[in-house]
Amino acid sequence: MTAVLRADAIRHVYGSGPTAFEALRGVSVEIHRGEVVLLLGPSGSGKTTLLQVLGGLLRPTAGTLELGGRPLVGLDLEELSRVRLANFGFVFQAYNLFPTLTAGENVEVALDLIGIRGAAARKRSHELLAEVGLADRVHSYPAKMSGGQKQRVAIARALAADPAVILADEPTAALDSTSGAKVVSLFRGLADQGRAVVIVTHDNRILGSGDRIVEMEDGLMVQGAHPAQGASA
Amino acid sequence: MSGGWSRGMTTKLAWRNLAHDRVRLIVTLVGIVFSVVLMGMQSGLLVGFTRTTTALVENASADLWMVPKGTLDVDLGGPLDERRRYQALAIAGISRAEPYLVNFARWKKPDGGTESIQLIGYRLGDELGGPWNLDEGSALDLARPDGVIVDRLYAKKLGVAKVGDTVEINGRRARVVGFTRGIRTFTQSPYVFTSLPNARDFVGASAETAGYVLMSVAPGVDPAAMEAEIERRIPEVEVYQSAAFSKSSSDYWLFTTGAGFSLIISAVLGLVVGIVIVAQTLYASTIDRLPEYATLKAMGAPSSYLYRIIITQAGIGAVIGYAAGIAIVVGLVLLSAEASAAPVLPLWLALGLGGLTLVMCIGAAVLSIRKVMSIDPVGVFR
Repeated sequence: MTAVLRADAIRHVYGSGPTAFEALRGVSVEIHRGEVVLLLGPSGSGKTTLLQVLGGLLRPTAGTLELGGRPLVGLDLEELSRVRLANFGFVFQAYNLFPTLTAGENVEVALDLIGIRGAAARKRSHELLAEVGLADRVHSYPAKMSGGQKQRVAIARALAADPAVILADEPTAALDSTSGAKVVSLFRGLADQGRAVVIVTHDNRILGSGDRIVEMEDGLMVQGAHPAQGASA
Repeated sequence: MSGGWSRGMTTKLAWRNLAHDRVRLIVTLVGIVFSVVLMGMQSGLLVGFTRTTTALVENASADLWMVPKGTLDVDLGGPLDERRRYQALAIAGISRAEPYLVNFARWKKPDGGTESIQLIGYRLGDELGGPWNLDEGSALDLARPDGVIVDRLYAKKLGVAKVGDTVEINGRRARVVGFTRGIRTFTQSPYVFTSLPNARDFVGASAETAGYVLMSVAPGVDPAAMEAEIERRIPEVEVYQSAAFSKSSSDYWLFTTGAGFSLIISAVLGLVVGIVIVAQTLYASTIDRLPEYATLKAMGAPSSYLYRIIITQAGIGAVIGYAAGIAIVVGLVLLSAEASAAPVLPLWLALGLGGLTLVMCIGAAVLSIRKVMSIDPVGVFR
């Protein structure tokens, strides 16, 4: 199986001098299309830092990172932005929707960034919201939606550019079990469509839904760097 | 995937950001409106005063003004011997040269009160230096030995209401034979037009005394060349081209007296107040929306996308604030049309204020843009 995302010997140090903190201490991991990878570990273990590095948001202090065989380390910020826009979809714990825009418009912003606009953008945003089960909430504002609905809008937005990789940070932490299950089911479906899904989570309720569990501790990977090592729990 | 993004979505985000917080929007707009009104009224007064101080020169229809040496302002000329007029006429290229008298005098109202006026004496039958904007009566009636024409703006101040009213100027009887409309004076001593002989009688000047000599040059003759030639041939006087004397007169009143500086400083204060208010409210709005900007950055939006949202917010504020502000300025200008010190709002000033408002608002966005530049998209995970 070919890795869509490959990180090798990643180190990341926050700060410098005596207060420097090494959050990642030589992490290597491969992410493949079609799999849901759960990234676990206690607070401060480095899992969110790893997610940021994998998503091109944080440039590692050392190590290599490849997306589809293309090295990402060394790209400047604008190049990294373009890479993120075209290849990654982000889902956040707090949804991070634009409160002044409707659900449809939230998705349209992401479409606008990739040059899809006007009627085509409205049609596509309706399709994406229908895909996450929110066809009837296109014109709703986030303030009028439940947490689960907001997270599904965020997923629809993350899918706007048809990304190869979805990176989610605690996507079910603020949701009840029913809403959480719906969101996890959506991620499963996205992986089945051939995308790679990486989820940072503390949520024990979703541990059974991953294809692989990667465990981190003290900036090191203790389990699951490769598919063979981390079969689903 | 096609490149670029639409102005529509950034405009929508900008407008929603503004409209979402009504109180902040109102504060922003009040700041811009206040700024536009202050800048508009102060600069309108400046333009109005400039026109007032130059009105006599601009409307005299002369190409050249011969003035006593050292004269800077048309209202404050000294005596000039009328012989200079004949010397000027002797120079080839000068087609006309007419004496012109501008002199302060005392005006005694019919009810007994007195006012200071500026008496303007010009040669009848010649269009050089006569009254303009005649509203009632005829300049030919100034041939009467006591005839004067005043402006309606000052009729009440001068205690007259209609043609035929009689007053005294420096103790001599005068009769109002006509009214002009809109001829203001910066000195607040109203201009009163009369014939040159009448003016000399009223101020007790000799028949050889003039204040200025107004000159026309023959067709095809360069006024600048004539100016130099007259000054060479008559070194006792100075000669201005009309535009230069006009500028000298306005500069004298506006800058020598400090009146112009205070108007300009008030207008600049309006600009500064506008910048501060817009910058503060826009910055507060940007701070409130930092998580959204960070999300956009994390999603891969280029920095220019975020700048466009902020600049569009500033631009929308500028357009709405300007529209409301300029409407108020137009209203105030219309209301003060009959005042003795009236602001004016020519099209170029209205358009210039619009441009300045836009520059002010976009300039005020710089702080917000600097803040957005420093956003780390990693912050969305915290």
